[in-house]
Amino acid sequence: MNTTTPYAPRDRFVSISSLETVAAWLLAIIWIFPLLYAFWAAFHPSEFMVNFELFAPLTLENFANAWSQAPFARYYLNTFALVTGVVIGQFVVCTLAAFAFARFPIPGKNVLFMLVLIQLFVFPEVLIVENYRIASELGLINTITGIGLPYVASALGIFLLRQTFKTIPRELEDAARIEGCNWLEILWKVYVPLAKPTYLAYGLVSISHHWNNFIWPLVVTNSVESRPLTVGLGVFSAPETGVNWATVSAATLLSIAPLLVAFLLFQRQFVQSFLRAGIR
Amino acid sequence: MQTKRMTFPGRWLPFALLAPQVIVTLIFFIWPAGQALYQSLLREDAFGLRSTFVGLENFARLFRDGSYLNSMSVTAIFAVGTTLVSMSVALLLASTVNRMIRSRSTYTTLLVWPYAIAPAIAGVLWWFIFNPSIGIVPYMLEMVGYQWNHRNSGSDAMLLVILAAAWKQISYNFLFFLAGLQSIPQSLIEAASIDGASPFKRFWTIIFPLLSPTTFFLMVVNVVYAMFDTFGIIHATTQGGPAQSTNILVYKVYADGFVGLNLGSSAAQSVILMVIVVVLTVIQFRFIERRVNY
Repeated sequence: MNTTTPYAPRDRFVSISSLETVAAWLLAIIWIFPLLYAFWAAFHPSEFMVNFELFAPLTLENFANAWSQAPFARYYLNTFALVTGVVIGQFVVCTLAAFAFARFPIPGKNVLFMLVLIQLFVFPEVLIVENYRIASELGLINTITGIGLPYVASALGIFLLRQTFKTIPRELEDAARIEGCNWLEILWKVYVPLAKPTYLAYGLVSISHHWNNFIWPLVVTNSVESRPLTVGLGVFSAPETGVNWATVSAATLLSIAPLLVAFLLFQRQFVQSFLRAGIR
Repeated sequence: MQTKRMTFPGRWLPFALLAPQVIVTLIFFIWPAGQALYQSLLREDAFGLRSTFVGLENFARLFRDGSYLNSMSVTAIFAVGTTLVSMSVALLLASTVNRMIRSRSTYTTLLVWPYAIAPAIAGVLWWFIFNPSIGIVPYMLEMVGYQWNHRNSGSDAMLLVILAAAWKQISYNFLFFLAGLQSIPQSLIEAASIDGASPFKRFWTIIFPLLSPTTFFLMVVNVVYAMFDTFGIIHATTQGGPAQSTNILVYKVYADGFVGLNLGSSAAQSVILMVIVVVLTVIQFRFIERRVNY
């Protein structure tokens, strides 16, 4: 190696020069700009949209407008019901299936499990036309059940839980059986408590996914009664409706606020759950 | 020792446990997938009264159809562009944060936020910023003499959707890269730096190769994301236009199936998408297995 310095001083890779810090923050600010801009537009009167004055008057009027121009309360309720229902359904269905896959000798188990794995990436988007026809034959169009039901047998959930259940020592199960537990009690008192971190990780991923889901709810719903927030906002801010952008920004912040706050509060868990759910 | 362990009484129990999952899968996956396969081999007449078996004619037609081929190349450009932009920016951000000490956690929170935002909503935000008449970026671009208009210019539109899609995915990539970087032993980097390797060289000869499992994993995830999970962004920004220049495959299935109501063709498109998904899944699992052994 033909370098001039025999060694680099230790602080060159341990600490970081102030120039680099500035660059890093600049990059982050450019990156977060769309969000900052939405905050700016939402909290200021609309004449300040491209007119950045530090002391522009703050206002909450845009939020009031948004709240009164679209049934956001109803959308919140729908999204909340949807997310709760989906997560509970997924926990029940995936726990049972994962338990069976992890601990029972079933003929054809591998074929069944391969089918589960293939679904890891087959979003309803791929089969949207066919899924729509089935949902309409079952009378699920325009219902919150219709939005959530196709996701209940989540491949990711089964996969993660099966992996976790497989690591739990059989001895614990045997001990529980000697104590006189039946299979349901064993599942409930041995497996479920030991898989708590997996449930937390998967639950967080699932909540943010279903809170944000768009295409399937868009296709399945066509009324205020069942529309979740994302679709409601999409309808509200569609370019052809000609709503004021300050109002749209306020509405946008209203719909993302709960998840942003949740991310802030549970950042550590969120970060870990994404890594966990992604890698395994 | 662990030869035959009759764990639970009753042969029905495992099947009962699997039943809910199997039923939902049958209704919302197997049956629709079968329907798509079946429909893709049929053609309906103009009134939707009779359908005739046409073999692979629907597929052959698709591959002769200029708009479908266009959609395929648009999807390829979009997927590659989104993956490149989101992964390179994420890697840059992650390696900077990895060297930061004091403000690391604030910085991370800031960077993770876009992930909480739905693609549909990210689309609205970007549509707003790039709006040719009221948006702030076209306003600034005009000052340097560029007329931004994604309503007329296909390349402007493509750039817009790539930026919006990549923006949202950067957070995800960032987290994985950061985790990958933190698992690289500091002693390796110190050793290289004692040998006089510049930061740039340290990155390309040590850090980047050690990150390659993460990079490969993220590549598949990003391609899948760009191909299947960006409907909301396209819908909110360009709706496939102008002149189909951002009409990615998933958007086209939706447009043809619900707006155009061409069932045979839309089913054939679904089948092609499914094949792509299965191939990507296989790649992913091959990789994960290799990683576990490694």
